[in-house]
Amino acid sequence: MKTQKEITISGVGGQGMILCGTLIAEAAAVHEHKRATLSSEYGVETRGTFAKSDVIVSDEEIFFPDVTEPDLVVCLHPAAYARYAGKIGDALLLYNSDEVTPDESAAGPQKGLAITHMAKELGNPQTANILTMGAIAALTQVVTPEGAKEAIRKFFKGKSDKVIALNEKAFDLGYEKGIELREER
Amino acid sequence: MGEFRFMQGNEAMTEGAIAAGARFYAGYPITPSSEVAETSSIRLPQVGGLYVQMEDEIGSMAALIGASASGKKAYTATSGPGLSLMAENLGVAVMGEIPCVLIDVQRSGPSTGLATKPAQGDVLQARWGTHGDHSIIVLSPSSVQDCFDLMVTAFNYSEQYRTPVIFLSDEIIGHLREQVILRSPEELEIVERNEPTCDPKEYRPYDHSVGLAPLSHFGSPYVFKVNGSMHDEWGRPCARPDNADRIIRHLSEKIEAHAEEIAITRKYNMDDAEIVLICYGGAARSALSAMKKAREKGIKAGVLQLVTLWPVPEKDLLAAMQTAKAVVVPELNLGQYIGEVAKRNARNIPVRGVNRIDGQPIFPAQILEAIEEEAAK
Repeated sequence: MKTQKEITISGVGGQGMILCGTLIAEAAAVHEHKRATLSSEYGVETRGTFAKSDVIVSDEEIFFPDVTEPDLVVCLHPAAYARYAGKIGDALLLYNSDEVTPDESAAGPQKGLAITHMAKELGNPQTANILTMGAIAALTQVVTPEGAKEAIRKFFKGKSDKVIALNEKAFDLGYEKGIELREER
Repeated sequence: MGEFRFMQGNEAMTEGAIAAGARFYAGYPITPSSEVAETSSIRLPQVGGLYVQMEDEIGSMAALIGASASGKKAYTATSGPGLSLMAENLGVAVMGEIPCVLIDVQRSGPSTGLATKPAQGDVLQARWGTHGDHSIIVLSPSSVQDCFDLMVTAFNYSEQYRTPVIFLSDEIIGHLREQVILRSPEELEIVERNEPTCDPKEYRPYDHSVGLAPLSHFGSPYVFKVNGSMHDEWGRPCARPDNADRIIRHLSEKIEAHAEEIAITRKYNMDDAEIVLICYGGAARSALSAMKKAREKGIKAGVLQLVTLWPVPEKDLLAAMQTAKAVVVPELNLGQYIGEVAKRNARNIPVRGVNRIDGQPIFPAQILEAIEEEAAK
């Protein structure tokens, strides 16, 4: 049985994908006592060009830290979608349906989630990456919601209770939607 | 024991430096090393240290020499373009035998290159970047744990051998986040500076006739000079041919004669290895993955990872060349260390590089392909 799970979170710079991946990997390592790595790729521009983070969670030592056999690829932007759609075998592609118009003819399973819309509804579009984190946790089960939220609280330590509560809420919503998608599969 | 953390390689370097006793940082931030500057600017003041953001890398290296000569363990972090600028004053540190640690988180070059993408293009620059005959110690980490542990080693070597040490990381390891144990002080062996105890009037900071001369610090009763020009045992200008000969030989021999003590290597499945991967830094992670896949296919592949790049770990390298059927050297450059491997190929076995210079990491599949081809021969 494959004991390693590989996740790519892609989009364009500024969407918070590296933080999203970091918190998942950190939660897996610190709270679930698994091996985890986070590697990233980004351009020289602060915002607007392709960027991704690769999360690997395993029961064994991880050597090469980039995703080569993905279980899940998240695409938050058309530039990222174009790169992965139809090219990731049986892995699930999760796209942000507010940004990406899916190519229905692309091979492999894909699911949309209105991430931007939901984050705005929660009161802050910046929570989109934490919402995505919730969906990833639900779809891959690499971290428990408790462990993930512990990592979120640690990251936002020093911020107001309101900010922390909002991000926890974003995670929960993403997790709930992720579970729904999982059941649909 | 120690503290379990999940952190980035660059952050772990800062923690390792502080654990080693470093209390001075001077630098000019540059991708992909900037997090070393960032975290040092936060952490050093917390432990009574000093962080200085300099006007450029030339000044940074000068400040490092001054701080170290004043008795502080000092470090900086840069990438290839900054290492080029530091090269001039690096020579001053070599000549003055001033301990310090330079972190180079390599990115794609030449020049500005691909600023955010990984490379291992500075391997020979680290060895020969500053002019003139000299030796230098270069260490190459391949994990976040290495970033912590080997920083301590880097400072220890630098004090023990009175030399600058280059900590040659790369973007893969610098930006990689994974688990690390920040070891507690009682777990660490720390080399402190060998300060003189003789009569201050008798102190000769460059008299290495009986082992490496102790090094004092500015402000102590032991007056000494740091001189980039040829100097005598006291540090006074001296252009005598025999003296120049003595100094240049000493600068090499004080390191090369201890190459085996400085050598750090790691061997994986080397006992029966027919195809040996010789690797370092970020590319070692690709090599280990490829080795695992090759073993699953029944190919006897092994890995010799060089953690010390310079001086060359002769013994282990020669041993690998003695037993291997073929050697594969994966590097994120067009083949820089492979030259050292080829020089030691007395049996004339196949030695081939797997090289990548497009800003992407070497994928294990590329190395596996080379292994399979060599195994099939």
